[in-house]
Amino acid sequence: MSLDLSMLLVQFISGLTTAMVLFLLASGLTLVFGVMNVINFAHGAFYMLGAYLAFTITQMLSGSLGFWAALVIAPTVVCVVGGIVEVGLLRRIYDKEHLLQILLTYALIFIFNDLIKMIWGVNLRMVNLPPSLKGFVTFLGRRFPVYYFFILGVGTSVAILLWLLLKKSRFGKLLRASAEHRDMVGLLGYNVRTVFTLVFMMATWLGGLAGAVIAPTVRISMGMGMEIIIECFIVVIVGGLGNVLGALLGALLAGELYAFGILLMPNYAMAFLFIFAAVIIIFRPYGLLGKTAQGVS
Amino acid sequence: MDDRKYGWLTTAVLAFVLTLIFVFPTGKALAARPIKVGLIDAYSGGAAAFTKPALVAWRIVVDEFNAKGGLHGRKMEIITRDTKFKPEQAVSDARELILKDRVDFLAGTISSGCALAVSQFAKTKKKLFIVHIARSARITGEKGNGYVFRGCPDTDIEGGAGGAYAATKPYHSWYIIGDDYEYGHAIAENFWKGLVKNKPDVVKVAEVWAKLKETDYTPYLTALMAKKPDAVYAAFGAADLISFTKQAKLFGLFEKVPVFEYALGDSIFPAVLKQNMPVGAYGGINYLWYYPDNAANKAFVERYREVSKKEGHPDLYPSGLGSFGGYCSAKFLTEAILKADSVKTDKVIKALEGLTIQTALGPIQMRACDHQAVTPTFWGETANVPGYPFPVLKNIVMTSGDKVIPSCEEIAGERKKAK
Repeated sequence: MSLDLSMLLVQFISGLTTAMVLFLLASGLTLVFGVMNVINFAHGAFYMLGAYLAFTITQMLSGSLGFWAALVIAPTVVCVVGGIVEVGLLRRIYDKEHLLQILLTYALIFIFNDLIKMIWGVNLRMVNLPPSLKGFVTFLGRRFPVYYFFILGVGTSVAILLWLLLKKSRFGKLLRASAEHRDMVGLLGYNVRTVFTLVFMMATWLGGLAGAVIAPTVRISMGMGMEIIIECFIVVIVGGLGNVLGALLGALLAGELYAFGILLMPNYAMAFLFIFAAVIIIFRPYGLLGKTAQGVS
Repeated sequence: MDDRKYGWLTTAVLAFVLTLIFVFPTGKALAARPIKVGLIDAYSGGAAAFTKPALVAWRIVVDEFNAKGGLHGRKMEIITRDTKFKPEQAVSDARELILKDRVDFLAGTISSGCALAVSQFAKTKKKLFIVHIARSARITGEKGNGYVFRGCPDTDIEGGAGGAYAATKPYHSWYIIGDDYEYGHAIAENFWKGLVKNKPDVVKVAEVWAKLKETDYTPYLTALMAKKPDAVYAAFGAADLISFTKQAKLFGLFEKVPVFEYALGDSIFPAVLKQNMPVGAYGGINYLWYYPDNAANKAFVERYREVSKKEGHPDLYPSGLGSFGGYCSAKFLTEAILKADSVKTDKVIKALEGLTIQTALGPIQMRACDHQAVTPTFWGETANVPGYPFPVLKNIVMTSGDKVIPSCEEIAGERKKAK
């Protein structure tokens, strides 16, 4: 097989799209861990909910309008649900050990699965591609669907906005401070509880957005959240728990490793990712960009 | 009369009445005790798209059996259990059905893993188990036993028929992609065997296995297109077939390369895929609701629509994977019971071996040596044909089961090797 440039480029873009979806999910996961010190197994459930909501909205409003509406409404609804979960359940276990948190968030997966079964039933659902994002981009004699460039755009925008929010805004400073000196922030007169609720809502919004964005390219089914969350955990661990920039780096590495693994040695592509993660865990247990002490950066 | 005498009389009357209640009607109830079939399957989750149509087909056959008076007045009854796709659950369901519900026969499942687990259990309990959707060739092949039957095709028949069909097309280099799972490997392997047998000069460019339930086939699709094969064989199970097809359509794969996908011809996929259903692809299946276009098939479709509506699961297009497999399996069982004139397991097994049933596709035989139904396979090109609600197959080629099924000697060899 001749490895010409255009082929490599296409495979690279392929890996980027995979990376962006992973990043959208992993950023929420890492944010919640970094600030709140909670391992949220249920993150995939919010992603699934986003996809199902996108399905309903595109059923009600056809064409491109339905898709854009879904892109706005689905993450918003998911983020409200996230707020309810934080206030009603998570808030009660912050000072408990990780094991209890895992039990609770794991239980949430089952609760969400059953809720989805009650509302949407068990049939597989499909969201159609919005007409305005159909078609292909042709470059170097190869075609790539426009929609995947849209995914790239959404992922990049989210990355930039998150970075600005965390580094440049007052809220971002508050977040970083809450992560490292929870009590101090409280003593200074800020309501740490509200900060936590807002962070969790932000994370679930990102999860919902990932679900809505991915919806037109996948089959929507129960358990779709579980199928992707393991890879997201790997991304988060490789990048450094709690580190948003690390999540981006981890997602990019995972996506490209996967894409080129498939091009060169397709039957070991999955193994590459896990071997890479294992090496990182052994030599840099706190991740590529993680600090020994956790925190949002 | 003193009190004591009165007491004796009461006791006597009571005893008599009790005798009447317990002995007499019990005898009658025994005669009319229903024939119970325990249907174990995954009814929650995406699998329901296949298992519910199969259940509708069972109802058709059972209603027909009961309307004709059952077996000397004994009606048939179906008791369902949800495995949630887990083999352990399937076995505990089977155990409960046998011990608590006292079922006479077991049937199911969509999952090959569950079918293999239940078939081992059925053997230890000496109960007849008929498989109606699961495809793994091992169920009636190397892992087969005297108590297991299958009324639907397996990967040997379907893969082999696909290979024989593909050999008639002018494609030389092939790219194989599929689920890294028993079903994917088994059907692809038989496809390749069938293709090479009929066209020895073909080349395999690559064989790529994606993990089960993969959500993102993007890197696979770009890598596949970079190889520029003459044709692609996609060996995916139901759920992943949908994801793969949807994304392949997004990437314009079907316009660039001829793609062969078994099961793509089934009515379930266009119903789910809708505008993502590709045209110009090669699809196969074990049953088509519009072909052969004859009275028997039309009557079956009509009846299926009626019963599915009555069951609260209205479905216009009976599927091959769900409905027809369920229909044949139920038909094999009821016909065997009538032929044996008994519900005793050993007698029904004997009656089933070599039994031929009449279906919408003509006669189908249950092979005696391995308990596998010898079913036909249909392949064609997906196309928008006026008058049909979604893309259907055209230029249909039927391959009869006896042309592609492994011989009894081969099966015997496999079983011996497995021991």
